[in-house]
Amino acid sequence: MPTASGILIEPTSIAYTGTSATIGANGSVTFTACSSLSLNGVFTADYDNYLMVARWVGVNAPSAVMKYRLRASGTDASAANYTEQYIIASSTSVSAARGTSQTAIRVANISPGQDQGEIMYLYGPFLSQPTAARNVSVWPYNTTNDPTMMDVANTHSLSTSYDGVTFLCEGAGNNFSGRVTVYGMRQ
Amino acid sequence: MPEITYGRWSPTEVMERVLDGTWVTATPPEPASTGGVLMMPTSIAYSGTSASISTLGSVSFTGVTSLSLNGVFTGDYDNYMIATWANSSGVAIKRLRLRASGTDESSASNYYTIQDITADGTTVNGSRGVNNLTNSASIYATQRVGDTMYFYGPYLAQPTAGRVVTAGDASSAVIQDQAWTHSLSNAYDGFTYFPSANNISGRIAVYGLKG
Repeated sequence: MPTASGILIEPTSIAYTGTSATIGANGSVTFTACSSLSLNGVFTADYDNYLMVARWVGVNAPSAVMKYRLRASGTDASAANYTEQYIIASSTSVSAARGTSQTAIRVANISPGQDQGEIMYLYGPFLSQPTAARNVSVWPYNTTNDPTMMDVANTHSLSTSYDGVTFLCEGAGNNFSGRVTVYGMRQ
Repeated sequence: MPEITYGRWSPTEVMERVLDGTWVTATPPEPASTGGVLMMPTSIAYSGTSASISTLGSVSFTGVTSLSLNGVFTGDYDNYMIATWANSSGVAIKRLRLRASGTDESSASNYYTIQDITADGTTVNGSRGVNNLTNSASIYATQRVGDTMYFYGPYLAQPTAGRVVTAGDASSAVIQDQAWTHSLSNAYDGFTYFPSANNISGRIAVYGLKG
């Protein structure tokens, strides 16, 4: 009998700063006008790898950067141990950059009032080893909805086990709404 | 017929309630809405220290120079997702060959065409080449590099396409993606995964995507 590929994981708890955030009946998290959102207890010893699917909408953000941090036992890993490599493709322009000694990793850019989607692959966040992750996203760049690609590969150098993640929106007054779902990949 | 009651004790342990009210080990049917299934290789072959198939179907390996998964592509699914993380005893490139009935497809030097894109710092480069193998990602001793691969139609008697989405390198971070095609119209039921040098350790899992 075949085994399902992924299991939707319900957070043991969430924390947020903003208007609201709730865990749905199936385990996904819906949020409105938050400047930060933490999912606790979504990474466990049952799975090595995870898939996160997110839909973001910017609120009051002219064009803000969404970032994430790993998290253990309710505390963010906010030391400068992250490295990111990103690539942005917009029309005929392709650019890239690397950020070292980062305190959080960009996952996407968001624009006001427009849906932005991404899939994030996380490799071994609960394992006591460095974590690698990859984001694949589409970002509506401007008010005419021009689609832009922004992909990010990132690593976290500590050999620490993390059970959760925090999303945050850079810039005072910038918030985000949407939904995020975490899947554990069966193994 | 009354509906059978199942309980999941853990992700790998499922019990079924029987007539006397006790619970016995069971395997429930997958719900119709399940988007994908974890494929169980019919067998594996490897060169190196060890490799084994887990209860559910993923393959863990230690210090291998090649690892072959047989019987993971079937007529039940057109497309597949393969998730892997691994590290190596030294710098290497992870490579792949399709495989049919226990034999790697390496019969000609130009059956695989590979398009690479690498973003490293502010530099973005692409390249295209032909070979008797295809690549997934560079791998290092210090970091368990992760990649997710998509195989489109490997079991169909038509050319196969693949795409690799990667993340890795502990000292920095690199995007190193591949798109590849294989030109023969053969059905392949497996693949071989091997480093260009040194040996690799980690885990790999193949998921059939329901059509």
